[in-house]
Amino acid sequence: MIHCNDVIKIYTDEETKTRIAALRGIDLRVKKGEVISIIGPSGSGKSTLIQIFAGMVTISSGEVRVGTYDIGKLELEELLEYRLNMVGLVHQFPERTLFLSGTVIDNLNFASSLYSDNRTENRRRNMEILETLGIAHLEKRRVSYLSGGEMIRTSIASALAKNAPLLLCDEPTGQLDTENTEIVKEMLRQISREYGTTVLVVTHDMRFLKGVDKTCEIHSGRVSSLFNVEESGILNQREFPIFFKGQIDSSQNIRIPNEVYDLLHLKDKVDFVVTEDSKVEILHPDGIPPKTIDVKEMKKQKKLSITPLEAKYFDKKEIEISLKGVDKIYRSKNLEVPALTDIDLEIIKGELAFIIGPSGSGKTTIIKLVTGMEPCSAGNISVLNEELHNLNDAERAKFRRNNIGIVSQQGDLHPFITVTENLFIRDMLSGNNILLKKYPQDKIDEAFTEFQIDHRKNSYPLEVSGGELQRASLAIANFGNPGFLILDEPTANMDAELADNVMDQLYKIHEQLKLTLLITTHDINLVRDGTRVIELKDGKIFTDGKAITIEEEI
Amino acid sequence: MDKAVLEPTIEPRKRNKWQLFQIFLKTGRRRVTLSVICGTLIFLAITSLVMIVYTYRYDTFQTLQEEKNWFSDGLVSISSNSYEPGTFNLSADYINNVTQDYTDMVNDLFPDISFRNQTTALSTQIYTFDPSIPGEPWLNQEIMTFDNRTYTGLIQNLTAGRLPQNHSELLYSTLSLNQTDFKVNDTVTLYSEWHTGRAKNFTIVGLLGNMTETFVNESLSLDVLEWNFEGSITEFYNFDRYNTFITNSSLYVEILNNMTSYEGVLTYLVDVSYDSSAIKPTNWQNYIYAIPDLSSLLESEFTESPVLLCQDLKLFLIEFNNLWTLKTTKLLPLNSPLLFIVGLLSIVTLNIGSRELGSVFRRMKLYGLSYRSVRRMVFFENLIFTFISFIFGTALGFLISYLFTMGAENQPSNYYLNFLMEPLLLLCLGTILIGFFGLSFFIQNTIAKKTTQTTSEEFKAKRGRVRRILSTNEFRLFIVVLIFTIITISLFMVYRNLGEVSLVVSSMSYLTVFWFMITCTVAFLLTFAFLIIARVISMFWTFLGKAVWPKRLNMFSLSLQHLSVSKKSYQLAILGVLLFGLLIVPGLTMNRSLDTNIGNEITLKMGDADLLISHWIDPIEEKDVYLENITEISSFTEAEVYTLTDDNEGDNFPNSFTVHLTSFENVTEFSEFMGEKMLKSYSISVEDILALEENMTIFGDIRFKRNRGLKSGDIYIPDDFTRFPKDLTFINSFKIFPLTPYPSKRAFQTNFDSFSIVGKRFTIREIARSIAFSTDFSIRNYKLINAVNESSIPIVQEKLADLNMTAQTYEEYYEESFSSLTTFPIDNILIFAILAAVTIIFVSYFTGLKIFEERSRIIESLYRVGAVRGQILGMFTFEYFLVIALPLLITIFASLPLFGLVADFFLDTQSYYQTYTPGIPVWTIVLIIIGGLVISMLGWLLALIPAIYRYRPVKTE
Repeated sequence: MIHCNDVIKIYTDEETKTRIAALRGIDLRVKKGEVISIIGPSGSGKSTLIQIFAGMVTISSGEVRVGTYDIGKLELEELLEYRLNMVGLVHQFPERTLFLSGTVIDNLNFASSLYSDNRTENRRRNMEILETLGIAHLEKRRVSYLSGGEMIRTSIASALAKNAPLLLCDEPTGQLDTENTEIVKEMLRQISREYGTTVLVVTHDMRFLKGVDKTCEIHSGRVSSLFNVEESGILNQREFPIFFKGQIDSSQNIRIPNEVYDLLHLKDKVDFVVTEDSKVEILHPDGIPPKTIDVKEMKKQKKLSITPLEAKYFDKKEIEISLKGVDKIYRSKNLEVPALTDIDLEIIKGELAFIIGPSGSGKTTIIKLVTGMEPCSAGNISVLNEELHNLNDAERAKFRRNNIGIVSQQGDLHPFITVTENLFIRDMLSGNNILLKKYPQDKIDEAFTEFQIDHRKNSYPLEVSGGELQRASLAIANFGNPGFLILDEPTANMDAELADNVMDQLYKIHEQLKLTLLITTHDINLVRDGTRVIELKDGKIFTDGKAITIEEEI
Repeated sequence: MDKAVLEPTIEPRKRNKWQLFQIFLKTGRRRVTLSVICGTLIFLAITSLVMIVYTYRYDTFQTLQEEKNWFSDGLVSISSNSYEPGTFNLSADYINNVTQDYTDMVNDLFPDISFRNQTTALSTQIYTFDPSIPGEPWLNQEIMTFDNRTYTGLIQNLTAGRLPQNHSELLYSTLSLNQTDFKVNDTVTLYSEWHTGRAKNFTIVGLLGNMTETFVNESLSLDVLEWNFEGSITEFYNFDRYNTFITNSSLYVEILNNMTSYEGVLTYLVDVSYDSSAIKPTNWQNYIYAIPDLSSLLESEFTESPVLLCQDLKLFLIEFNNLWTLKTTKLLPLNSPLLFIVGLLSIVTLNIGSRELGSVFRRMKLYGLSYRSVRRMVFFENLIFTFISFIFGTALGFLISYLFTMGAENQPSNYYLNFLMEPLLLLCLGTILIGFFGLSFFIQNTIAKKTTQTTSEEFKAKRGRVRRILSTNEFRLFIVVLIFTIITISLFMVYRNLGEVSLVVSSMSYLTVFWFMITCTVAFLLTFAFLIIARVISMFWTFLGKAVWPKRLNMFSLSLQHLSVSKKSYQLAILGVLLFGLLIVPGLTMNRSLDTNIGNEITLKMGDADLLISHWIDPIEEKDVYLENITEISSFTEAEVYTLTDDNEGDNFPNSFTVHLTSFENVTEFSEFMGEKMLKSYSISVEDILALEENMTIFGDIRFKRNRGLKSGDIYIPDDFTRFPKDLTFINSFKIFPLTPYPSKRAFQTNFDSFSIVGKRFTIREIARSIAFSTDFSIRNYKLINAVNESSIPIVQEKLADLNMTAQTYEEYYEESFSSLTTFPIDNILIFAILAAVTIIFVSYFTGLKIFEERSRIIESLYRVGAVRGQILGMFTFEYFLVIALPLLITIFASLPLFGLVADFFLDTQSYYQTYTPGIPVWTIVLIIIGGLVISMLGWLLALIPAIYRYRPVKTE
């Protein structure tokens, strides 16, 4: 179904004339009816690859054949026709592919009308798809009234209704918890079985390693491995010899698996040694001996054990944040959604605490309440001895301005002014007039140097990368020494390595400045032993205690 | 495609385009509904407006034709004459037969025109011989007879004698052009042939006096009494009648039948009072052309002579056509802002309706639909809602207008249907239909084009500087303006060259198209100018933003920074404000301004007197005594105003000129009459006035003084307008002066001078005496009278009337001036002002929404940092204030000179003694500026307050 041969994609920035290679020679074969997950870290090129399959991006060189189409050679109009005939797209944000003001069946009808003009047959088939995906009861419901899960299903159903032989799913579970992720995975398998559709799922979600026909790992714009997890036996290796899978591309390049690379302390050179019995060894060129491997250690996954706080934990401590019996209910016209129920929480001055929990558990709502961005529906909130529940919106805003530094998932800096100018928004809002030339430059430099972002201080927020933006936001939030910092999913868009680095910095800052830090995350890998963790489930505090990471075998 | 498709395993898809389109429509019902509502309102407005114009035209026509006195318009409706040598054998009811035959000819030609009344007359050329006249002793006389009704009316004015009883008796009409002093029982010898001496004696048995009043009262035609075929009507015999003798129709026939031989002209005259109310307003031109001209006259079978038909009707229709053309020329350009308003409202509504369209198109693109497919859907959607709007809007417009006009009096049955053929309506509707469709398609297609392009396509499409300029709205509009201007100029050139010879070019339809094109051109020019102003203002804010922002960081400079980034988003708002500024001042203050200006004009015209006798003739100074005897008169004075004009064809003077010379019989008397206070209001002191008592001393208008560099006491030699200049001593200058016309300049004529001079009678007469022979002059004499108090004014007026002196009061002049105004445009511009106010609210609302959407990231960042919502609102609103304040000020002050144009051109006000000034207090303008800011802010705040106060930070989970 898909045949990629040495596909290279280079993006050229017309403004700066810089060229960035997103794909550096991808080779990939996918059979009809297979379910393939494409996994890789941020910036590995997986999104570019799926955009090429979708006909939205043209390749720089190589060959891409999908079905009968050699899409590398298609003109723009032909690419559209290819997309029309061959591709069904399920987006991470399904609302972007659906007609929100239409009903579920309208969306399916639209898609099926692109396939056939036989209304009766389309109707029958669409109903069958709805039945298969378990959303037949939503047939006449307006899409804008659907929940997230229902919307993903509708999006998949629409893609199927188009009867495209290739279904491309871009992070379809990005917003879903494990339970829903599993449901979607099963659904995709079912689709492949019943409709013979080839399914490609692009994700950085490692849960997609299992339950698919093949997994394609992409690193640095190349396919590093293509395997079936269950068949390859990679997952359940408990004894030597350990197997790693690699993929040789058309120019005989192969990526050394990360584990092997680390094990051998490799840098930029490697020796291959062939012995008499035709065995091949990979050695460090300088003869540095490899690490010792503990097989059991290798295949462990991190789990968080939370030990409840001791009874006297708060004794004689200065409480900086206190929530007592706090409820938060979001109200719309005919709807009431309880986000938090009966929350009792205290944060000590200078403490670093994580708020963890699955999607929709109420993490962000707590942040909004503590920062005064939202009022609570019931209960008392005291922050730095200020009773937030007694303040109005304007007073809460002033309080937030004077006392709290916030770093959000998106960075949220003022896009029209430079990073340095963003430092002074607080002052401006307080009615101050800053003469930038007369302002001590060392203070500005210090603020940015601390977070290693001084090289970006004159850039506009839209010009810097995600990681840099987070660091800049942190520097800005920390500028002027606010009472405490609140970080809302600060590593949400980062791969594990980058996320780990950012967390290192945060721990370091906390150590140095003794700042109160409140961090929300859904990634437990960020939490380190001894750190306080508040776990939320369904809008309630499930556990509150000190974290101990446990590594248990998979 | 073939090169890329490897194997044909995928069966071709059969797209159900209709269902795709249906779902596109269904999911965009909000957009479609909004567009339909917008379109319906526009078509409703246009239909209603044209209905109003049509009704106005119709009513004007009906009023004029009702008031038209066909019997004293100088033209006989149906006439003919023939040279008849020989004898007569006429039947007794000859006159009735002629009437019948002639009126039948008109009825055959215009079946829908009926006659309210008619007067028939027959005239026979006959001669007298007077040997005492040297050279030409034979004189033309006529014997006339009339239909019975007219004859009955005629004889009511028998001032002496009796009616004729036999064919040798005649009445003599004192209306005759060259009256011979006939008396009752005089005998007159009339010759039936010229030079032959076949004479017969007739006795004058009665004299007819002034018949005008009787004829008017009895609805009889005066035109037949004073008939003549002057000018180019060479087919008809015209002769000067020295005397007219009248008899009744039966005696007239007898007189003619008794003539043994005859040689002369027999004239048939039927004047009718038409009932032309049934004429279709759209068919005026056809009527005009249906009336046979001199080269194709119809021939009467009865009188066997060519008949001149309906020349009075033709003249009336031509005059009305010209009048309406004049009105149209004033009405259409005045309405050009309406096009602008409609355009602006459409853009805003369509933009609001299309807000979600971008994401819809992106979805379609993800499905694989090409731009062409999307464009097709957009095209058909636009086509559908344009036509639905068109049908709804026009039907509603017809219905509403019908309901409003169904009760109107004297509406002929075809009144309403005629409206459908109104060229103005068809043009407006056609243009708006195409414009609305084009605009909405353009807006949506632009979105489609943008959203269905991939990033790489956008890169490819990146334009160079020149292409960027070419793709600006200003440039596009410039092209449109250029096209319209060329078409309009072409239409004008065609009209100028062929207007007199081509039926099509001189038709009302052509003129309507012509003026409609002018209107469109003006509207587009206005928009173009506004866009340029908007761009300049935006550039100014960008410049200011860049200059202030990096140096000083505060909320003010941050607002400027926002402003410089969002300048494009404000373009529409600036356009709205410019329009508002331009229309609101004249719209709201024109009435008051007119009041002030007419008041000032009358005051100057009357020389600040309570009563003015405008034609005072009293060469031997005998009438003053009468005035002195009226105790209610406190003072009076006398003035003369000379107007001298010379085209300077003989190059006697440096320039051609118009000079006004105002003189006062007695300067001291005038000074006392005016009083010190009043004189001061003209910046003239009593001393200066009294200085005019010296011979050859003058005042001059301020331009006169400036151009000649005169100072008080300087000698001025009037060689620039008099042939024999005498030295004059310049005393002082004035801007305006009682009774003295304001010297007006002539456009595009540099070698023209105009000024005003004031002096005492002796001085001015001395000047007037020395003018060149080539100089034309006119004199008006005034008597200015003041009453002892206000309540005495009517008494004085009455007493003067008793003395046969017509004096008019301020109120009478005011009433006269006001009634001559064309008031329709006042309502028009008032409606525009209201519409402009609504538009600005709407545009501000839309801009507010747009800014809120564009600024979500800014709001998010500010809110998270701790900005109070009020601060965000305040910053944005301050920014908006800066955006609108400048254009508002610019256009409000720019609109002040428009007052004169609107008043003079559209409202027909007279500015003879002063220049037209807005005449509104400064506080009114300040109030309007504040009002403009307030209503603009209203729309803005209506959008922003709920948006900002309901704003919630985005969900980050």
